[in-house]
Amino acid sequence: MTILDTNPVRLRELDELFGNQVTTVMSNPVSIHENVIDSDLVIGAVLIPGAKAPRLVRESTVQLMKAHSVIVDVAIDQGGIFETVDRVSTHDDPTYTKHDVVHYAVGNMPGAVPRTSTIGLSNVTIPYAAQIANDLEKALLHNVNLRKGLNTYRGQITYEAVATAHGSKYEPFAAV
Amino acid sequence: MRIGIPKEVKNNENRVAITPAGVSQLKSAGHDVHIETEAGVASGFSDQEYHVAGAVIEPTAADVWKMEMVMKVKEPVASEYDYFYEGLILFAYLHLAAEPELTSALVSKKVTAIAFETVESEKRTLPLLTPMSEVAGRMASQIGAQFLEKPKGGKGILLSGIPGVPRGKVTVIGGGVVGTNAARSQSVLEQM
Repeated sequence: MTILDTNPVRLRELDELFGNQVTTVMSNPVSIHENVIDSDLVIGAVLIPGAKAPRLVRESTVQLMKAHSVIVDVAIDQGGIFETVDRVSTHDDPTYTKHDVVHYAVGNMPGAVPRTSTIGLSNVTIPYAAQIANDLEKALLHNVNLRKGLNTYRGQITYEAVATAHGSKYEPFAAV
Repeated sequence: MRIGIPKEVKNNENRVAITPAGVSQLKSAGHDVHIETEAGVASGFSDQEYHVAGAVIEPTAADVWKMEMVMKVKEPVASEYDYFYEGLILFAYLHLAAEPELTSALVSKKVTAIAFETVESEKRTLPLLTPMSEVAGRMASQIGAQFLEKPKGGKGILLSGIPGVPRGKVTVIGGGVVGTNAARSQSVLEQM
């Protein structure tokens, strides 16, 4: 198995984590092309928070993959990283074929395993929920992590990227 | 505080915002949890389990949206905007940058909205998004292996190989939470 990433520090960590089980490769247009064309399975795993996924794999590269290879684009919720992924598929009809390559681009993949996902999500959200319910203002004042989560408050947009997206005024949280 | 948990309304959304274990955690912190009937069924949690954990089972969505705080999984859909009222605390995945109408409903109704996906730790990780990235990454390997089977449209190869037959070549683009978890479950598959 080969993992590509643009961050040399992360590549070093992955090398330490997986040892000889994986080959780590610096990601660039050349290394992506070379590795994708002779893979049986390619997994797209580039997610940039709050941004559209970069289109890293060209259609001309997918054309050179062997027939009946498989692409799984996990970045589909942000638009996907393969040029050949042009629509979101569903758990009921999960794949489509292009250039003889099977494309799996299901939106909201965790929805297929709701029990695992519900427990995993609840594990991390409940401690924050308890802080919010104990005292909202105090939690927002003292917990920087939680304050980053505040998007609207008292009729104001308190998250910059959301205000920018809608051409509205950004008002950072201030306790009243 | 009284916390309401509605059943998810989006198509194919089978998750729910709280487990019975979560209910008992909030109860012991001194809060009341009111959950819409059958909200957890698709995740395998019955009303009875929530009741035993200390939750009040409510017959309709309107009943749980009356609470001071509402926790859910996905962003509210248009039919739920009518439940908003001034001072309501909403804690859920919201993705407001892509949701102009929801954003304006939250602003005009003066809702306090806290989005799971923008809660951020000191190390710039996204702790409330991470578990779902882990799920998607680990699923990706198992899905990929499955679709390489001939009846599913694939090449007809067993990804792990067998003694004397090489395993399939896998490339993962991106070494973050998703890619690392894809690699982790891949190495498990290869040992099977």
